[in-house]
Amino acid sequence: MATNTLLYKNRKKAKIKRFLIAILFLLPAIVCFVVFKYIPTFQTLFYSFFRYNLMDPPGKFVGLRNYINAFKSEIFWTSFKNTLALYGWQLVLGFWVPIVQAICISELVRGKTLAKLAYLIPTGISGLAGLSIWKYIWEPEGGLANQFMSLFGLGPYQWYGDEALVKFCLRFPAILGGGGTVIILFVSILNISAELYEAAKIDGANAFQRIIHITLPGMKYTIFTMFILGLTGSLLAFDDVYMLTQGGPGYASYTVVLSIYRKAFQEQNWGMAMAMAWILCIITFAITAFVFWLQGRTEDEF
Amino acid sequence: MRAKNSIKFTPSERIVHFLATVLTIFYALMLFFPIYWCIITSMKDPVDALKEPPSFVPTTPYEYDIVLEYSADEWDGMDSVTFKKDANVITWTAFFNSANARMGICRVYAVVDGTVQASATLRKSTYNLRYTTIWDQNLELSAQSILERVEKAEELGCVKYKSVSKLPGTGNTSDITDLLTEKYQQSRDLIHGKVQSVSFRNNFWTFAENYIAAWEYPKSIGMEGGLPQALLNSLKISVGAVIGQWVVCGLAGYSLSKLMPKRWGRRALLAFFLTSMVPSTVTTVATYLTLQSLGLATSFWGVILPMLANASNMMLFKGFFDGIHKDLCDAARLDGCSDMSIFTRICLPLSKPIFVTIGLLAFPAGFGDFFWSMIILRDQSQFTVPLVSKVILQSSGSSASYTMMMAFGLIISVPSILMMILGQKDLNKGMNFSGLKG
Repeated sequence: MATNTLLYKNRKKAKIKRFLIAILFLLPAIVCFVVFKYIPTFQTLFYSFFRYNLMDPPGKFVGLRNYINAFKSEIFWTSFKNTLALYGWQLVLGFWVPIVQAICISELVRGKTLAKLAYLIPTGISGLAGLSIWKYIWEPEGGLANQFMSLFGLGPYQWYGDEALVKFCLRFPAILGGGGTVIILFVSILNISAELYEAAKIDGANAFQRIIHITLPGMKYTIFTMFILGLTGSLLAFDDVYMLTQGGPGYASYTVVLSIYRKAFQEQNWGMAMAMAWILCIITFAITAFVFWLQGRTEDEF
Repeated sequence: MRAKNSIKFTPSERIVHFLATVLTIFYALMLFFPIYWCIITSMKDPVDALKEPPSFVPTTPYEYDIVLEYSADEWDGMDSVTFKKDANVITWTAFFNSANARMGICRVYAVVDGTVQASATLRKSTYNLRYTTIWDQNLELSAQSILERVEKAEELGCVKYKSVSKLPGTGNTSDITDLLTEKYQQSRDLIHGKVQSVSFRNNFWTFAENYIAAWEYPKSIGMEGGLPQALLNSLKISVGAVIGQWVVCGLAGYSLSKLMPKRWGRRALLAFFLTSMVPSTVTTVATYLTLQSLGLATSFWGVILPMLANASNMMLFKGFFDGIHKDLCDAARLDGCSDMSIFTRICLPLSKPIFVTIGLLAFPAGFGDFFWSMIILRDQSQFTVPLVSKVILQSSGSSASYTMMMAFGLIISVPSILMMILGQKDLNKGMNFSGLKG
């Protein structure tokens, strides 16, 4: 009896000790997340109601004025439309490419490793180096794109300098696909149970039917995840736009993040920048929630 | 019914295999094309970069040899500075008059009574970079303007001078050399020697000109340390991010997976993961203000620290540690192993793949980080590679030629590609283990 309680006490003691170690292990992460995620998020919300003053934070309370100004600002809405249009081009040009590529790898008889490498290595080219290659290709005078078009007697086009074409040009590289997305999709194909394929074979399905009725549905969740990630990533588009066009020509490729950046770091209008950031955040949430809801509904129909 | 391991394929399968092979090869070639174009362009003379029709093989710049003749009296009465000046004037005129010629390197030889006394070397790439206005403005050629520019170029160290005793083998001559000789005669009043011959030859190694220019570029925008400094700055950030994420996310992932009671672990994970729903760009301004109050708003720590709060990498760690069987830890615990030594002696040695995977994800992200670096690092000595690229990209056409841009892009891609090739095996393992299965 005595030994039992002792054991129990010891076990409890060990449990508490383990919990303390667990907290200790979590501590760096907790500090990082609180300081760089939680505090800034609430600060953003709080300061968005102020005309923020760097010298004397948080400055003057202005209520919803920042939000109203943001909604009234025409450039802000243009930048929203542009951001969505960029995502649209991304979907049309590039969304389906990694899926096709992943299916192709899985259908290869030999050389799968080689194919994976061929898709991975080009992403090793630093993002900025990639941008400079594309800038060179789209160069209006003597760039490869215009020289190619002139073979068909078309052009010359201004590409990045053309309001109608600039968004297409910015998202065109997506048509090449490749990169980690292909590998992730490929892994998701590997995880489809082999029994399904065998059953299909027994039922006399041909290879095309097999791809359409087993492989594609099996990849559904990964594709959905990629879709969501692409959407949020696209709403935050900044690097390429800032480097290549700086929002131009005019405001044709002005994105939301670019306008937030300009508002904050160039016009020093911090309060309004944070209000715009919250609007962006809410819209991101809303779109994500909508897509999830849509997915849930289509799920029921099956 | 076909046997499972039969090698025979149905016709439809054969079609699919064929299509898959063709498409894969097609896409691989397409993906490789921009890189190929980048490499080829980096080995061209800037003049050829935008030429029609485009050349798909390297067209390296030529090496020009200009021989100046001096009389013995003249040579005895002058010092090396005068010859340097002569060389400077003559090469400047050469570069100036040959905007459409593939002129990469210009060597000027001083000949006195048939023996070679000295040579001076000028590179168009350095000339271009250090003294960009030479190419931009004032195409009017007057003696005064030439001398002014020459002095400036001299100041900036564009001329390399050494004494030699041999002439190079004669190369080709062409219309352009005739034109140049003519021009030199016109600038006779500016130089002491007499132009004896102008010739050019093809030297494969002149492809390095663009790489030299890329190497020198950061200096020309005021970074004293040059490209090594920029690379070092980027390395600081990426290595800091990798090690920081190993420590912060690794410890947290282990704690969530193996130490925390299940229920609490799940709640904590949710609390961490919720933050990734708020895009980091949204909180940029507030994070900047937080960093400012911590006094980190202009230091490298200001770039590195926010990168450490990375929920998705923490998930990868947790997923991997979940894959290490619980029995293994319990057995060790029964043998009297403490929680600490279970972590260090049992779990860590098993988790090389996940550490490599996180490293391969975090390294390029840190190396190529642009948005944060641009906000935090304002001083030119702190510029990272992406910030230099930004200057290059936005100034293209004037001081930065496309050929130099491509060379720069290749140089800065080396670290990431090396890491990717070295870690490729572990990357595969890490991805398969840590719940990235979809």
